[in-house]
Amino acid sequence: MTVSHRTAIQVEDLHRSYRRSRRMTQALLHPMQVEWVEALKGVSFDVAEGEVLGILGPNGAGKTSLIKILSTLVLPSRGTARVFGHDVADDSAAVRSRVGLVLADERSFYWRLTVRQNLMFFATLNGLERGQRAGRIEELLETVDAQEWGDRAFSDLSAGIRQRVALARAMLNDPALLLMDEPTNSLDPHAAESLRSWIHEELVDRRGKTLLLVTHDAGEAAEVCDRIGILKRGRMVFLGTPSQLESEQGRAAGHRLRVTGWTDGVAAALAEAGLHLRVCDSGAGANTGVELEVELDASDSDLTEAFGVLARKGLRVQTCERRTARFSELVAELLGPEEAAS
Amino acid sequence: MSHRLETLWAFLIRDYQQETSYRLNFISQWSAIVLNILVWYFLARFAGDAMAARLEPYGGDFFSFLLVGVALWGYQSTAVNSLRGRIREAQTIGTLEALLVTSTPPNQLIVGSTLYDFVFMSLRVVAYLVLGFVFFDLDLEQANYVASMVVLVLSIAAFMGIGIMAGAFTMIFKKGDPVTWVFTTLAVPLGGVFYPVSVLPGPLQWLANLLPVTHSLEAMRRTLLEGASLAEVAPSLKALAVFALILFPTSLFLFRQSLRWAKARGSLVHY
Repeated sequence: MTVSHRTAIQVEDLHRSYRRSRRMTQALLHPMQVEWVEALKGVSFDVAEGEVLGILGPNGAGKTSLIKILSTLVLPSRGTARVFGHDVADDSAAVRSRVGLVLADERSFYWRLTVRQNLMFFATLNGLERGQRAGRIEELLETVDAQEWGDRAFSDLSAGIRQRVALARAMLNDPALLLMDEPTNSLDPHAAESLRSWIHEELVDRRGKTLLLVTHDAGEAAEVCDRIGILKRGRMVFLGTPSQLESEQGRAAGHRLRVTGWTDGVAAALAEAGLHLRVCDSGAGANTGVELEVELDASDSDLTEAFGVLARKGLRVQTCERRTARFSELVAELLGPEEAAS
Repeated sequence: MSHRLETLWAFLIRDYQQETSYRLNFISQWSAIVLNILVWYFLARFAGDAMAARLEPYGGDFFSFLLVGVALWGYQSTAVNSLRGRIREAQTIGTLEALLVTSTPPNQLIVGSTLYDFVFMSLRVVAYLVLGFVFFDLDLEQANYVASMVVLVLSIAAFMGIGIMAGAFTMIFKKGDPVTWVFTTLAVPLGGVFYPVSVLPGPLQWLANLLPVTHSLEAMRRTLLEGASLAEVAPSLKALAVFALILFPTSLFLFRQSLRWAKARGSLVHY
């Protein structure tokens, strides 16, 4: 198969199943019986070099399985995953040399060693030349704004600084692709916002890295990513930009209006023109003639016709603005209430 | 220094930094050496010359016999337990994935992970020998150090094969690997750590020959305490070489397979 040099990640029909662990009695009574849990069910997508793709989904959607397959820590059950043209199963060494992994698990460091001691160890294991290591570590500590913590034991750091050190470790060998598993997971809102800004400005804008960001925070995904893939129970139910999601959900063509002079039959008249209207103000009576807020499912091009219908019914439009649904609401709608809650 | 050596050095430094961060444990490990040697000395004095005839092929001194036996048994314990313990530690403290995602190949990770334990064990053995020589009349005047080193290298190669197999079992089953159980349980009663194999009944002597530690102890005692040449301990060396040639490559193959199995099961970080 020919893979474009501009493709950083190519995933095709990726499946991943895990054996469900059983109680000892069950295993003894039915030794040949095996139960499987499917974490990924035929996921396919590409990521271009320099692109930031967010993988969004609730717990158990298959996000972590995906990132572990791409970092060669877990093998696919079926299907293929390539990183810069190298198969993760058959050419894992080549993949590892091009990938930096930011784990959600902050235990992945030696807590009794200092930040510099940790980074020096992993720099050596990542193949950095002896003469480069110290300089590279200082450069990265400065980049992630953690220089003052360099000689502190890892156990003494706050969650935010640990996450920055994890980012520094992932960038030791200057990988072309960074895989981030919920990097803001344990951070307070301020630290999370700060880290998101840093990821965008430093990694994406300045260094042009390719990023695959796994998160369950829709706002974070919308803020940082060029495209977003939404996983639901192991399937990719959406892949595209936030505005594409709005279009697919039929929510981009919405406007919020404040009107006066409400009369019966407005909604019916609009419906005849193929437009749908909802009254937002619950307290005000629809016949009182006071100012009323309504939502009109009409695109910009439909507005002229809608305004004509409203005028014929005697309504005056005070204000009109395009309705923008919060991205997180759209994701929640797509996932359904149970999935969104988890 | 080549990058491979630098990687091994990095492991050594990491483990030294970790061990010395637990100061009390570090001190107690070294003080235990002195206490152990005292126990063996008084045990040997208690036994007196009663076992001299049995110990004739090894110089006749029970304290020297014990000291070499325990030192080499320590090497086997280190080889069998080190990788298994390091894997288990990395699984539980959460660093295993961080190590496996680096560009260092698994073979170097194996050697690097166990290096500190071997260096520490070697320093313990040197301390045993020095303390024994200076304070407890350990007789090393006839020692053939070159032959002893050859025995040690072959012994470690054979022991490491067992240790890497134990690591492979730990990668898959996490706890309770049978390799460690067999070799650590049988080494003491059958291998000749505290008494010569010649005191065992015939069938058990035959069984003892299936353990690398038996040949290792036989050759090491004879070269170190009697000054035997390589030719004189050739049967033991051949046995150790056969063990090393079979166990080492087999264990490396098994370890790679176990790593792939754990990745296929998605159980690398389970513990």
